[in-house]
Amino acid sequence: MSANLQILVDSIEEGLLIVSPDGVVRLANQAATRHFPIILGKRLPAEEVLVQVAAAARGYVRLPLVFDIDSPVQVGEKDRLHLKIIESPLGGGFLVLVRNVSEAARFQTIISNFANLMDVELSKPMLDFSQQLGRLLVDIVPELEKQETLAAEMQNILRQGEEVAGRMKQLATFAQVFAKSPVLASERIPVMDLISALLVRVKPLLEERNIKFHQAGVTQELPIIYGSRAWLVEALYGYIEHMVRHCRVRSDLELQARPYGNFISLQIRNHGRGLPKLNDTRSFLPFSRPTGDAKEKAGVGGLGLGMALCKHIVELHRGSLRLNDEDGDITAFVIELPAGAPPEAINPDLGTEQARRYAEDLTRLMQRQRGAKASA
Amino acid sequence: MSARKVILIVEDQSDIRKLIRMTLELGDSEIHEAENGEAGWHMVKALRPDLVLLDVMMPGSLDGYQVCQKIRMEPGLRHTPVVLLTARGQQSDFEMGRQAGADAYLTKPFSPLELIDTVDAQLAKPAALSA
Repeated sequence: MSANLQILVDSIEEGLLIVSPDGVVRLANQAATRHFPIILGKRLPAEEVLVQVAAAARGYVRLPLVFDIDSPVQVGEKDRLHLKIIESPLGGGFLVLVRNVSEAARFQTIISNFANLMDVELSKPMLDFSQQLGRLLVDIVPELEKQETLAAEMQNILRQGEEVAGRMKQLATFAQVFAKSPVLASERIPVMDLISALLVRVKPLLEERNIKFHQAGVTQELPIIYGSRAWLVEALYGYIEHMVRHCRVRSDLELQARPYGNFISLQIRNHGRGLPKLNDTRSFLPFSRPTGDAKEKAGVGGLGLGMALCKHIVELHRGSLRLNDEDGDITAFVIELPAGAPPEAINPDLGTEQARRYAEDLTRLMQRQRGAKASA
Repeated sequence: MSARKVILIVEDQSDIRKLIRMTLELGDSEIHEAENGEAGWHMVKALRPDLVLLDVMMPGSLDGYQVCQKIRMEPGLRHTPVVLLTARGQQSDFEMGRQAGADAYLTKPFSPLELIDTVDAQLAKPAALSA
């Protein structure tokens, strides 16, 4: 085998093997050697894989063949390996692709654990603390009125408490969205209703910066969205809040809705100074923070969760989000949400329940049919 | 002798469609099928069926309520009996179905007897004859 071919296959992150029909390893990249104790020219030391390769060689299974096995090189709790067997594009034999799926699952678990930690251990105590502080302030107001300095200090403490509580609330929302998968609801949501609910939320924001809101295409004719109304409003509010923050005072914000194949496209455009590097995909990752020019442009701090949350909510609804940088000062978010009910809205047990219901009534149905024929 | 009744089933789950077809073919009806709201609406206009069995939650740009509303707004079709099929069966769903103009409601999982009785009752209604 040429050295260049070896360099090429070693650069592939997934494990890659070429085996003969009798399971002898002809080629393996570095990633594959981490999954199996491979010796070139010898049979692959993984019986489960050899069985499938032999079945493929005899034509008993259809390719590509996809299956999972436990890692053969680990002891204790083993990682799960995801394998795909296809015909080798380099002569005879089979190409086996190997990916460790446990690593990705572990990362998800860490995120989920962290989110739960935020929710249970930090968010609630902080909100309780802030509320307690508020009550304390009410109780001692008559005393504070006599001592202006103390009153100002107490107000500062309260403001800081509220700020931290606000951050904690955002972390709690993050916990709900990422750890608890809230988008299980399959509410039927006309787009007009969604936008109306959104406008109620954004009205104070728009008034604060004297921004004129325009909407187009929001009609009853639009397809229906199925999902969680509350979370979709939350996501759209997040985008609009972000846009408003980057709009010029007394400028315009536009929302345009239109059907787009089996999707509904919602475009939100501002006339501002542009958004700080949101087209960088890292900006949509949790806890990302703007740097350099973007930081200056953003102008305000934050946990770096807002855009990540919004994007995640849209994706939980099987939608997508992109940022269109247009000419001049105009920037637009485009959110595409699937029209109609999602496949997962269909109860997987319904088929069984329906079959059981039919089985129960089949005898009565047959009796009725016989009776009808007899009387005819 | 009365003409065969034309029934259109609009349902995205093929198993449920087959089950309904199998049940209604025990009678003397001509059965047609559509797998989503858009296809269903086109077939309603083309076939002018005697009855439409319409699933509520379907992927795509028209769900069951919207197809029902379109039928009610279309001259010559507005008296066509529409039976909605739903897996939810909440009071708000019944109300939404009533507002959309549905004549009857079947909650999944439904009994074959219930299906036949509902279809027969709707086809026997004078409004269906004058559609």
